[in-house]
Amino acid sequence: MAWTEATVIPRPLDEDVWGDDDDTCGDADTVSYDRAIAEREWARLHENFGNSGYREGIEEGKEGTLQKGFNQGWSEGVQQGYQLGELRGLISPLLGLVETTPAIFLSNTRTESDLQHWIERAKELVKELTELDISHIFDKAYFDDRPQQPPSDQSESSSTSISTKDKNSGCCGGNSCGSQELGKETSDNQQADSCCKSKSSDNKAGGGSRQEKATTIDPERVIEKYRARVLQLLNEVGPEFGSLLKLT
Amino acid sequence: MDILKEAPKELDLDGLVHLENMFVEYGRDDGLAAGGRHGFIEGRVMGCEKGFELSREVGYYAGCAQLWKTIATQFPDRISDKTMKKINSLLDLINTFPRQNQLSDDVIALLDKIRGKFKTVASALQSPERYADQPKSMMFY
Repeated sequence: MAWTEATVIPRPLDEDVWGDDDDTCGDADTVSYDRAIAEREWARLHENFGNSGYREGIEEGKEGTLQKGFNQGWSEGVQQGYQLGELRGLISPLLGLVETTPAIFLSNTRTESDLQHWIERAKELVKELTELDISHIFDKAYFDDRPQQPPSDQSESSSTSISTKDKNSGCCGGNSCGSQELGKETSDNQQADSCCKSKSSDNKAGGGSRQEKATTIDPERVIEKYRARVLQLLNEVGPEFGSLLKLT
Repeated sequence: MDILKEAPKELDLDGLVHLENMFVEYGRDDGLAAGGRHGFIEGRVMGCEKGFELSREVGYYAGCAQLWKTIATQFPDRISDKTMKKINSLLDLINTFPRQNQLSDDVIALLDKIRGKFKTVASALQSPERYADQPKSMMFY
C-alpha cells in the first residue's frame, strides 16, 4: 500500500462512540477527544516520517538510474550530432574551394550567376548548420515520453541500436516529468504506465497516433532536411561530390 | 465500558517504533520509484547533450576529411601523398570514436587526438576550416 493511502486510523469495530448512558456521557467526550488527538498524531507521523523516507528514497533512486539514463541519452545524441556535424564538414570546405577556385564549378552549363547563387546558398546553409542549437533537435517533449523504469527492455534496445529509424518523437506530452510533490507520484504513475509504453525500436509507429504531440520535433526529420540541402549543393558541383552523401 | 481496563498498562514503544519505520519504508518505496524515474530522465538529458556536442565536432572533422579526400581524387595535384596519409589516419581515428559508450577520460583523450590531427591536416592544406566552439546552450529541462 502506498504511504499516501495510510491516512485512516483503523477503528475497532465494536467501539461505541455515542455512549447513551448518563454515566458514560463523559466517556463519549473523552473517547472522541482521544480520537481527535490520535488522528492528528497519526497524520503527523505519516507526514514527518513518510516525508523523510521519501526524500531518502528519491536520492537513492536517482543515483541508481542516472548512469543508465546517461548512456541512453548519449547514444541518442551521438547519432544525430555526428550526422549534423558531418553535413557541415562536407559543405564548408567545398564552399571555400569554390570561392577560391571558381573554375571547378563553372562550365558550359554553369554561369557566373549560377556560381554566385550557389555560393550564397552554401554560405547560408553553413551558417545554419554551425549555429543550429541542440534544443531545435531535442526539445523538452522528446524527453517527456517517460520511459517507465529504466530497465532491461528498453535500455538494451535503444542504446545498442544505431539504426536511424527507431526513435520515437516524444509521446505523452501531457505528463511533465517535473512533479516531485509528495503523493502525486502515485496517480501520475498509473497514467504514465498505461499511456506510454517503452521507447523500444519496434514501437515507433505504435507510439505515434494518440500520444504524439503535434509540436514535438523529430530529430531525424530535422537532420534529413539539412541533408537534402547539402546533397543538392554537392550534386551541383559534381556527382563525385554528391556521392559522398549517398555513402554516409 | 470499563475504561480502566482499556488503558494500556505500559507505553507500547515497540509498537511506536514499528509505526515510524513503517511510514519511513512506505515513503522510501515511493521515493525510490520517483527518484528512479527522475534520475533516468535527468541522466538521459545530460547524456544526450554531451553525446550530441562531442559527436557533432567529430562528425565535422569526418565530413571535412571525406570532402578533402574527394577533392584529392578529382584534382590529384592539389593534395600531396603525405597529406593524404594524414587525412586517412584522421579518418581512422574518427572511426574509433564510440557511439554507445558513455563519457570517459579515454573519450576526451581521443577527441583531443582527433582535434590535433585535424589541425595538422588543415594547416597542411592551408585550409581555414575549424570547428570553432559556439557559445553552448544548455538544455534546461
